[in-house]
Amino acid sequence: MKIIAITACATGVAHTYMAKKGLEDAAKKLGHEIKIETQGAAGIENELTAEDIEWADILVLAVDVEIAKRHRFHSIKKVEVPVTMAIKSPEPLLKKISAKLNG
Amino acid sequence: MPNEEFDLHVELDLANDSRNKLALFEEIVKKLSFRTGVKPEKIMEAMKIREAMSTTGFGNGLAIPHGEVEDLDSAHLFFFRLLHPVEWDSMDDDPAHQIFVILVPKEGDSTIHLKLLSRLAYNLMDKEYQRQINEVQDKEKMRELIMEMTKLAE
Repeated sequence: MKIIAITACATGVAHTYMAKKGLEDAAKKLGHEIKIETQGAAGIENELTAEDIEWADILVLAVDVEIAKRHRFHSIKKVEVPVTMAIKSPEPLLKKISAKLNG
Repeated sequence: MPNEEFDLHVELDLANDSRNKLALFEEIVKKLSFRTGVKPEKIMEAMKIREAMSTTGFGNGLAIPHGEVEDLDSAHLFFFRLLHPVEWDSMDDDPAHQIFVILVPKEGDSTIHLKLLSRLAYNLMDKEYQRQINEVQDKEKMRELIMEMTKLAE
C-alpha cells in the first residue's frame, strides 16, 4: 500500500512528530510505503506534492485540528483519525486501512 | 555539541520524589520562574492549557508535558525521573515516571526551538532510544542522550 499522511496536533510541538514516527515505523514493519507531511507550530514540513497525491492509494489524516491546504486532496480516498491513534496503535490502524482498501 | 548555538536550557533530575502531576508542575514552575523571571502563573497556565486538550502521557512510562509560555525568551527542557511513578492518564493507562518537559516561547520567531523539540518528540517514539532512556543512570550520559535526540537532521 502506498500511503500519504498528514499529522497535526493541538499545539504542534510534540504529538505531531510522535505520530509521524509511529506511522513511519508501522509502515516499515508492515511493508507499506509512506510519505508524511507534518503541520506543526513550525509550519508545514515535508509538504505533499501533486505527484505524491497521484502516487498514493490512500491519505491518512492523523489530526486533532483543521489542516491547512485541504483542497489538495479532493481526488484521493482519505481516512481521518485522532493524532493519538497514530502514536498509540499505528500498526492496527494501517492493518485496518489495508484490509478495507483490499476488501 | 551541535545544539549550543540554539540556546536550549536543559535541566535534569534523575531522582525526583514528586507524588503527583500537580506537585511536579509546581516544582517546574518554581525552577523556571526562578531562572527566567517569568511569572509562575504564566508557566503553569501554559502547561495546564496543553494538559486540558489531551493526554501528554504516551505510554511506556513516558510523558511529554509542554507549552508555549508568554514572556519566555528561550526554550527550556527538563527531564525528571520520578522515584514513584505517578498517574498521568496515559494512553496505555500506566503511570508515568520518565518526564520530558518542553517549554518554548509563545512570541517571536522560535522556529529553531520548535524544530529541535519536534526532533526530540519524534525520537522519543523510537524503541532504541526508549531503551536507553530507561537504562541511563548517569546525568552526563542522559544529557548527551538528550542532545543526540534533539540533533537536527542533515
